[in-house]
Formats: sequence, C-alpha cells, structure tokens
Amino acid sequence: MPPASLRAASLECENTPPNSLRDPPFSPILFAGFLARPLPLAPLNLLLSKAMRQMHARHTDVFERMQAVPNPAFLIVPTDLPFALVMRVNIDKPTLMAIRRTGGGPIAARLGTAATISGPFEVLLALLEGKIDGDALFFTRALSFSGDTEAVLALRNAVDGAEIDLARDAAHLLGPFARLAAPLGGFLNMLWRRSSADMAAVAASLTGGQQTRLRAQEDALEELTLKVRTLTKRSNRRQKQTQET
Amino acid sequence: MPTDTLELVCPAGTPAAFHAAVDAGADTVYCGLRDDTNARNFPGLNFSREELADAADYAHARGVKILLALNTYMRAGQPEAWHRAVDDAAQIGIDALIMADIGLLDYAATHAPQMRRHLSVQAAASTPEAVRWYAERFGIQRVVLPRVLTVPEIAQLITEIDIETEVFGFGGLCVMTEGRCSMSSYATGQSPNMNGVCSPASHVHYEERGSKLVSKLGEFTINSFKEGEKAGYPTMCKGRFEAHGKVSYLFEDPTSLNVVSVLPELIKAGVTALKLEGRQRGKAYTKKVVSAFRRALDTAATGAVPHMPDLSEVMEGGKATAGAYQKSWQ
Repeated sequence: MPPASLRAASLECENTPPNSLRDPPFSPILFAGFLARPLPLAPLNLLLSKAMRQMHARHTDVFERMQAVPNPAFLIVPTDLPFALVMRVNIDKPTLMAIRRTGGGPIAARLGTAATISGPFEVLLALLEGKIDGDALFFTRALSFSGDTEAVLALRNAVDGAEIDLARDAAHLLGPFARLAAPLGGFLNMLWRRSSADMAAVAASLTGGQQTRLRAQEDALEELTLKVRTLTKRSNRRQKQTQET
Repeated sequence: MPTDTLELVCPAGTPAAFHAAVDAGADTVYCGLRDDTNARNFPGLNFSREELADAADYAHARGVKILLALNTYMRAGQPEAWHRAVDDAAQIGIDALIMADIGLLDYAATHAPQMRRHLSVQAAASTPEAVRWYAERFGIQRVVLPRVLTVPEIAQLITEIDIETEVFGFGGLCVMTEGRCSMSSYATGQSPNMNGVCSPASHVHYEERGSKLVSKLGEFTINSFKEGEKAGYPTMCKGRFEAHGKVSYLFEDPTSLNVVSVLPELIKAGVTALKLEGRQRGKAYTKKVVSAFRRALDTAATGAVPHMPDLSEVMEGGKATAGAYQKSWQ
C-alpha cells in the first residue's frame, strides 16, 4: 500500500511509455486528450469510482480470479491520453483513480503497483471486452507491460473470462437515465466513426509524400540486399575453390 | 471405422472462452480446474466447481460434450486434489476425463467407471503396445497421440488398436517427448508435469533494451526481438541461442501447428477427433480458431479440399507448419 500522500488525486506519473509505444496513434482520442488536459480530474475520479463499484458488483468473478495475486495493483497508461489510471482489483476494496501524466520520475514503485500496462486507449478498451487477443497484441507490441508478469497474466485471464460489455455496463451506470444510453451510444459511435475517417484523411494527406519516398527506399534496399547476397555467395564459392586448389 | 469428418475438440480456459467455443461450433470442449491438477495452471485461468457445473449445463443443452483435463502427475503422498477432482467431475456429469498418471487412471476406472477415460498426450503413448496396455489395464476409450507421428504412421497405428484416436490440429507445438520434458523444471525449479505449467509466469520477465524486447525465463535469456519482429512467450524449447558463433532457434522455431492441409488424409486414416490447443489463450482466439476449423471440417466432410484459413494473427511467430504430420526429416 503506498503512503497516504501518494493516494491523492493530484498524483503525477512519468510521461514515458515504453519504446514500442512512444508514438501515440493519430486518433480522435489523442485530440480529446488535448482538450481534456486543463480540466480537473476530480469529476472523472468520481465517475471512475462509481464504475469500479459497479464492475465489482456485476463481475465479481474478475476479483475472485485475482485473489491468488498478492498485489493486484496496476498502473494503466493509455498512450494517447494525458492521464494514467491506478487500478487496484482487491476483492474487498477495489479502486480506480486517474492521475496526470505530466513528467516526473518513475512512479510505479512509489504507487505500490505490481505492473504497468501501456497501449492506445481504444486497444485497452477492446482488451477489457475481450474483443481482441491479448497475446497477439503484446507479441506485435501494440500493447506493452513492465513489472510482474504473473499479475499481468492473471489480470488478462480474469478480465477476458468475465464477458464484459461496456455498453451494457455504461447503461447501468446511468441509473434512471439508462434509457438514454442507446441513443447516446449510437451518437458517440457515429461521432467516433466520422472523426476517425476525417483524421485518417488528414494523416494520409500529411504523410502521403513521405510514404511514397519510404516505399521507394524500401525497393532500393531490397535490391541492394539481393546484390549483397549474390556477391557474398560468389565470394564464398571463390574462397572454397581457392582452398580446394 | 473411418467417418467423413472429425470430432472438433476445443479449448476453454474460462467460462467466456467456453461459451465462445460452443457458439463457434465445437463438438466437444475441454477445460481444467483452478489448481495444479491440469497442465495449464496459469494465474487467473480455469474453472471453479460451480463454473464447471454451469459449463456442463451450457454444453449439454446444446448437444456439446465437456471433457476435464486432469493431466498432471499426482504428487507422492498427496493424491487428494486429483481424487476429489475425479469425484466432483462424476457428480457434475463430465463426459470424459483426460489423464496421464496411471494411479489416477486406476482411481477413475475404479471409482467412476461410468465416465469415459481418455489418455492424455502427457502419457506419450505412441506405439500400439503402449496404447493397448493402457486400454486393457485401465479401459481407456481414446488416446491423444503425441505430435511426433506422420499421417501414415497414425494410419498404421489405428489398424493395430481398438480405441479412438485424437490428434492435435492447431496451436503451440511441443517437440519434446511429452510428459517427460525437464527443460522448464531446470530453468525454474517447477515441473510442467507436476505443477501444471511450462514456463510459469512468475519466472517470466520482459525487458526493453533500446529498440529490442528481451524475454527471460528465470536467469536465462530466451530471446531478443528486433523492432517490428513478432515476439513470443519464452519457453526453453523455442529460445534463440548462440552456439558455435551462430544465433538460431536451436530446438524449434516459434511456429504454430496447423493441419488444415492434411485434414482429408487424417479423416481417411480413421482418426476420430481433432484437438485444438490453447486453453491459455483468450476468448477472441477461441472464437477465431474454432470458427475456422468448423468451416474447414464442414468443407472436408463434403469431399472438397478445405481452404487454409488466415490465422496468422493468432499464431505463435505468425507462421504455421503441418509439423510431423508431413515430416520431411528422419
């Protein structure tokens, strides 16, 4: 358990995701994160606390599966958002809290978390619902972690086994306004699709020239590799012939 | 007697994966309890007794069979967990037990004779003499064959035994004599065959060194992956080591087994069931692989050659092999 001074919402964590994830995806979430940066975290933390209480009530099996892990505490770093999440999945008192990512030294040890998991926010959400294979994500480095492998594996298995449906859970979170969940979800989905398409067009426009040059360089590199391979083979053959004579 | 298809036996590490397997077209689903009685004893994985009973109900209501893997070897003087698992499985209504330990096979044959007994691949029975011995002594109805036989060898074996055969169709490969490998035990002090896990996660570490991702098992560096190169879970047999000045996969490439190309031959050989590996994988893997093999088997049943599905995304190393089934070496 970290000291009380580290449990406040004003915590900060290092702004350094692992090498493989240094460049966040060019997505609407990245821009939403820029807009959200000046906002206070207190309202978000209220919502996160409520979401965690609901997760505990609706998906008790996640917490049961984590009981074998001595310290089920994780630092979750969405690489395209300006904050990270400190999540403790203890069966008796689970907590979820956002902290800012604004510099500072390594904090995982000070927070008392067992491991740090980093990845684009969209990937983390899909993983939570078990829509994509966690192993494949890690092995292609779309996702990264550091720290206690056993704790991370247990969390992956526990979450994957829970049949979490974020839309359904979010509707419950809205309480008496649950009937608004479906139209709201539809609107957000539409917004997400449109803004993703717009941003993909912007990205293509910005990097189109570079992509063309890159493809030309790849072709040149492939030609050179073939030439070097042929020359090496020829040289080895000559060396062998010389040795035989 | 050869049929026109194979029973599709699918893995499930959690209730969610179990539902995914059944819904994707499994004929049979196998799973394990949340302890070291099975060889996929990973943290957070497997079934409680209640979850197992719910899974059995879910499967039986849809005409699907459920098997329980009790495929580790009992600890000397402490057989209680394995015995209790057999008793509970009988009470829940599990269709068959998958076992390797002769003491446990005997216990199941004596105390729950109504339940089918399958011989696990962990017993490494690959000769007619070995299979017949297990069948005569413990009344096993099916043998899961080790992944070291060619299709002609399997066909020959089937003519010499009177029980069903099950072969591996997809997933992680094991090049060792299964049930007798000590490499993970050497590296970690924990035995896959006794503690139920090869390369236990508690001994696995990943480190980023510059642009490289380095995987370690205990004190051993198992692999170092360049930027853009697909990484893998560190097992000793799939490590990349330096020997005589050359870095290579000394024992085995990190490649997945995929037998779609030899399905018609396996059916013709008289194999009964096709097993997909991967209880340790998530439900997205289960759904994708089971659906692909359901389609492939349905195609093969019509006499057509099944199309090789693109499963590279979920394959170890992103590559596939038909392994020993199409062995081109001695």
